[in-house]
Amino acid sequence: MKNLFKKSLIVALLASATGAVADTGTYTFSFTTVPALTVTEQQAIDFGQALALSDAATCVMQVSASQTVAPSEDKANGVAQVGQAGTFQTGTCASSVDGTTGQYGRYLVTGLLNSSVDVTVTGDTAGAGEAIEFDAQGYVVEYNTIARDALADGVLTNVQLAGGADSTFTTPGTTYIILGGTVTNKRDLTLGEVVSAGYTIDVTYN
Amino acid sequence: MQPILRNKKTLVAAALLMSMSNASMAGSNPFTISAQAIADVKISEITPLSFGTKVDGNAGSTCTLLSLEPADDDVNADIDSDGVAADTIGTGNAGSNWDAISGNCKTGGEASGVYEVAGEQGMTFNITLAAVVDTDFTFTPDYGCYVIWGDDTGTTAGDDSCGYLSTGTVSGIEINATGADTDADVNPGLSRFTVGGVLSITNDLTPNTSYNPTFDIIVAYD
Repeated sequence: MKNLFKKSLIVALLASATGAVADTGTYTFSFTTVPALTVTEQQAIDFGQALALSDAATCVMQVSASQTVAPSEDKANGVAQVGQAGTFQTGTCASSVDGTTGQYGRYLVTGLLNSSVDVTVTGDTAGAGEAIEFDAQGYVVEYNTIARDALADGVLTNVQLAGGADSTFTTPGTTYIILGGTVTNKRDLTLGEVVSAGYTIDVTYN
Repeated sequence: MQPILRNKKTLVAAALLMSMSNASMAGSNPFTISAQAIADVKISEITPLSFGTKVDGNAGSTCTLLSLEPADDDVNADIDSDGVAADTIGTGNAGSNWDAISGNCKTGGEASGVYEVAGEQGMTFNITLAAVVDTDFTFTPDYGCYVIWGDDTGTTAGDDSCGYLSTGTVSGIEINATGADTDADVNPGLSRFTVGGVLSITNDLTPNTSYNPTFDIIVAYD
């Protein structure tokens, strides 16, 4: 009897140790990534044949956020009214010798509708021997409030991409960046010389 | 002399028979022990954990989901399973740390994970959570909450509270027992807990894509 009892105890302990006193659950944790933010150039910035020749001369293409244009005209190509002919260049620009008035830049931003996006436009600093330096200036369209948020060179500006309710004016999940800016000569230029400068448009989800 | 000797032998033999008879009687009495297995500890999912539909999938992004302060009268978030809205947990309304996401993600579809453990009333158990390290992201469970029954804290009826659940093992979590939880005694044999955490993107993910990885939750009696 003693031996039998001992055996019974061992069996009971084994059952307890190998039974379901622990349990492991394997479960999903899900998430969905947002659409990529893209910036597409629809129209490049072109100052035309308007720069003065002397070192340190500046030429400004004024693209004003306060310019009065109906919101519907901010839709796609409607922004063409920005920078009316002959009026956007200030500073020491030479008269437009070839008759052109320059052309502002237009960029389409696409991403998640209604999302908050930070936009920063930064002109490159001219390296040694480079002809000109560019400082960007312009605006980005805020469809949520039907407004234009000013962009200054190197300054972060937050904007909300269009939502479904903004589809009257543009495609949901988009906005437009309109750019002009200031060109500063970094050396004397020669007549007819074609010069260029780089700049970067940085967009990130906020 | 001979007969006397013979008689003695018989007596000796009789004594041996008596002895054998006694041994036989002891062996025929069976004894039993009784034992009953404890209820298995089982885990089940009430609400799947989700960081939502607006996670920035770029490397370096992080998204934090807080799963503290659940509402007490919400079926899915009734952390102590008592159906009582007056508990201190969320006091019937989810707190600001419930289903709250922050970081490189936006509100939309996020949900705290809610899980239920069934087991023996009054027994304590432990929960083990570990980080999931994928090639492109890491999930670190954190900001979760398990029920500390009101009677355990020695406070007034209905005063259940929330214990903090993070990566690692938390022990001493009690399964609700009849008569033990002073506010409700609803669902004896159960306990619930929530899981949130931090999602860290280590390599660029595919934009506009759903991910459904898994993680393990281990529960065991203490």
